[in-house]
Amino acid sequence: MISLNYRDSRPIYEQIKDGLRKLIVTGALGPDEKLPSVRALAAQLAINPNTIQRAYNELEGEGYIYSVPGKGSFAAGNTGADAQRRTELLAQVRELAAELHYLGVSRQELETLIKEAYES
Amino acid sequence: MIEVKNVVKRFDGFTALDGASLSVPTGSVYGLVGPNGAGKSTIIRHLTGIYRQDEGSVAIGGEDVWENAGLKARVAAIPDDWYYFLQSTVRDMMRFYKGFYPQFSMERYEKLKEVFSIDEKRVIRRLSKGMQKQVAFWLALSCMPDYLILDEPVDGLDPVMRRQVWSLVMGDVAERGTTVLVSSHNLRELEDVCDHVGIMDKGKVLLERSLAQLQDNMVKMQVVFRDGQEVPADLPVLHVSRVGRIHTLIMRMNAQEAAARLAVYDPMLVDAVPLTLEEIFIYELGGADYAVKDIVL
Amino acid sequence: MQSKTSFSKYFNATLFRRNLTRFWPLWGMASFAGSLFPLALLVQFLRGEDFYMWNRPLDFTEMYYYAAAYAVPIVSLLYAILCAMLVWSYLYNSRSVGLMHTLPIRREGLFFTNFLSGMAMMLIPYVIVGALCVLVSVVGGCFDAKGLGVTILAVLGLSFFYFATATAAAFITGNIFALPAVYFLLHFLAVMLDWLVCTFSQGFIFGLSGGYSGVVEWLSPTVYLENHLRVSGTYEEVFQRGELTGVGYYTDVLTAVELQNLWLIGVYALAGAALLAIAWLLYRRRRSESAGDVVAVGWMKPVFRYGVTGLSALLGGLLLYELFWRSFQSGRYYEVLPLLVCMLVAGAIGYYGASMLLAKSLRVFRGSWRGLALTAAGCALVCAVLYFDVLGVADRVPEVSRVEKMTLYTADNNYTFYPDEDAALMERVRAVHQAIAADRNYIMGITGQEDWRSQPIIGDASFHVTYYLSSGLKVNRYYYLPISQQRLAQAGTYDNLLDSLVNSDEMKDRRIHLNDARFAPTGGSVYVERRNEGYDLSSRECAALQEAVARDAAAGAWGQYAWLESDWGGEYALSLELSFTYMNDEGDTSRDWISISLRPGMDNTISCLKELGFITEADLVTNSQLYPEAYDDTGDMAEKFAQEMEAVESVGIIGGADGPTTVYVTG
Repeated sequence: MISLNYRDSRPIYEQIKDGLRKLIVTGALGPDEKLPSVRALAAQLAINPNTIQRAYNELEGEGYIYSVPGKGSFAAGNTGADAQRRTELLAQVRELAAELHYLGVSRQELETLIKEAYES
Repeated sequence: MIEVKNVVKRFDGFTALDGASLSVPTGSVYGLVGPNGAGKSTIIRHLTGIYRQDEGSVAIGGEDVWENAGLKARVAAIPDDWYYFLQSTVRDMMRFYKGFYPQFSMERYEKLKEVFSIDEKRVIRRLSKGMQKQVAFWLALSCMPDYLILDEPVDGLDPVMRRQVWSLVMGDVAERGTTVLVSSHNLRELEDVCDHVGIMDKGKVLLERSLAQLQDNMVKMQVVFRDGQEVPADLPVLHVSRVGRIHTLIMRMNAQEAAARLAVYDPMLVDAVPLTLEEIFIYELGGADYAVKDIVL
Repeated sequence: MQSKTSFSKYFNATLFRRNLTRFWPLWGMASFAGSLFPLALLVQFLRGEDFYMWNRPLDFTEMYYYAAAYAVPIVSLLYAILCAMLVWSYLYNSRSVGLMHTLPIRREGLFFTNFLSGMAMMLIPYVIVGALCVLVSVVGGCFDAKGLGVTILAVLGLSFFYFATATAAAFITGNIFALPAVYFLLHFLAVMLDWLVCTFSQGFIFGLSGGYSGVVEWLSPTVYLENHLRVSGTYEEVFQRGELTGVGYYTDVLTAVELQNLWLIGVYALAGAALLAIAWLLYRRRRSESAGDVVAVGWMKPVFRYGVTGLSALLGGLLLYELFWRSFQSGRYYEVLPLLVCMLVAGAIGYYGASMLLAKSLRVFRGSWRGLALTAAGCALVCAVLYFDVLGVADRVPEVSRVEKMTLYTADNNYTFYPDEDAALMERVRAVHQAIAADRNYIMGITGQEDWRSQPIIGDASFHVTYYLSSGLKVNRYYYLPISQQRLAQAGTYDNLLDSLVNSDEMKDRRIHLNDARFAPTGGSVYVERRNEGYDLSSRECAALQEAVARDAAAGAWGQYAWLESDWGGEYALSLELSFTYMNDEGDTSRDWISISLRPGMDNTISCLKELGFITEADLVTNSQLYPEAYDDTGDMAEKFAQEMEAVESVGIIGGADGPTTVYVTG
């Protein structure tokens, strides 16, 4: 489900968060669908369960998932996405836009792209 | 929890451990790293009850380790030179362990037989070193230990087996709350499996932190200052290197703080790059007169 | 399925089983080798072969006892170290130490379980061989429960003792190769030191001879047991008729058999228990990191270092001296300086060897001058003590009050004195001894010359005295003395004192065992040279002749010992021998023979012989009359003696209880 790139310099828990977020955002993990247990994921990826727990905790904090004691963690719906996360991503988009601009991508091209992403 | 307090150990005048202390919280995976001869194996031998310290205390789960059979029954150790009886098969060694460890589980042993796919009737001496290590793991895990102490555990295992072994260990940590202490040089790997790290040198534990703390407390910033400025003198940096106009600064603070500090100088470019455990290790020890080459990372 | 484990503090069944299965080749081979013997016996029985022990339980038991007294100590000595080397081998390399000491078992458990494993390995072969022996004895109709029981006790005691000592050795060292060395040193150091001290002493001190005193033999159990465990059987003469021939004959039948001094095994077993306790204490304090070290116990390291140095200096020094200097030695005694040099060289080699073993490296030369100085001082001290006789050994002549018994050999005769009866004689012996000791320079001066014996006015005499002190120690001196004509006449010289002692009436009586209840005449022989015929004497004839000789001695015709010349030619060509039985202090009986040389003038004896019908007047010829060529009066005594020796057909040394008497048989 989630693959880790060992050469990636980002911390593991970041990669896990990103991986899970991607799954949720693209809908591969539907709303209220159960996430793999910390234990299962730890064994599967051969990484520290506490790391995974931390990723889950932060995702929960960001509103992507919610957990039910004794039952596990589940993907949240579209509700309650984190404001901070939004700011983060917007800043990234701004950076990307600046670079694209530097590379000579026109404004229309960028707008078309954004339109496509929102409509899919 | 595993607790070592101010342990001193001397061998014929040579001080191997000079007031070493470490503490491993229950249910965590603690990586003990250090250069060769730092004393990692020596500390491990104290924890498994082979050596007796000259000063200080060595305790697991609140109990002193020395001559504590009840405690040792819950501790499994895999040293870097695992010993087996010369003519024994895997099955023979299994029976031997079974006779000593009350928590030994045949069910687990049988299950792990599938995982390791080594014929249990083979004489251990005839197996390759890597396979012997696998057998060591196989038997250690079958003892259902509450504490697992590993000295250079995955040395000699192929990448598939490594992953397999860690997967099993992590499963135990998650499921049974096993506490793991692992000493290794392979920091790349430790980064994945550890949540605590201790750095040893010359018989002392220089620092120990949770991985989160470590990662949050050091950052690599790539900066381009305006107008070809040099690195300001009052900026607290551990290390500076430079390629052209791009300065790479290692600073002992988290990314946000570093960005804030640098923002003062209104740089053209500021980028935070998280450090690998390897880099943290090198920079931490670099301060303690460990010869470090200027590496462009 | 949960595994069953033993959590008992002192014993782990898995480890015990594992030891036995791992090491089966050793006890298996021992069992096999041992079983060959009873199996051979069984085969003999089944084939109907006549063996003296079938249907005779006591004879079978006697065989057990012989095995237990003489074979089992040596077998156990060797077998125990092999068992120990296997069972305790885990202590000697860090990998196995790592496994054993991380297992959930305390050191008590390891110690006890491994010790029991070793004992099991020691005893399994005995059990197997024993069972087979019992089978054979039952089949052969010679089963004796008591004999079996005693043998079992002996075997148990000895096996325990030897394995306990091997275990103690195992905890002194950290190296598998050092283990047998430490073990054998432990067992034989005492006798080795005894031999060394005696050898050195006799090379320096006037009057000492002999390379072994046996004083500390009890510290070398194997030697002591071999010398003191005894099988004593009581026999009865029984008249039997042979089955096939019907012919009757007398045979000795064993009516009782005993393994004597069995209690010694008990004492050693107790000592073994003490050593085991020490081994346990050593294990508790043992540092795992000592695996591989030659000496595992810290405070024993200097003991090892200087012990090896000392032994090396003594043994090696002696060896070097014998190899290189002995041929240059003038006189009987060691020359101090060359010996000291040899000791220093050997001691240095030992010192550096031990240091290298302890340090596990060849680089031990730096800063070693202190140790070398100590070695040199030690060697010099030993040599000085011996050379200057600091302890006054040469002059030691114990007081009669401290002596329990004295034996003396001089002038071809043995004597035993007890203070109750012979105090006066003992004082006279002491006086001779003191005179000898005082005159040592004179004696050494003469005996140092090559050919002192061939000088006509000098004779020689042996003087060998042993004082058995009430403290249990012995003072043993042997002197080979020059006797000169001149000094014989001088009062106060040892020559004079010895002469008056030996030729005193009391001593003459002793020579013939007159009025001595300890000696009972039993027989003897007469040999008539002229007719080439010999006769055996009965005990009555012996007694009669004894009295006759005594009367001749009283009359002055017999018993005078001549120091300077023996007038062989003047003796009658007859040999008379009287034999006696003698009961010694330990209660053993033995035989003593006296050889009487007959001369003209011994009228009582001659007439007694005639009366008893052994000789006639014609037989009374002297040697020089019978062999005039051999006894040429003008010739050299030595030459005559040499000629006579050529005519000798056989020379016998007959052993009596006190010592040898030489008999020359000519013609």
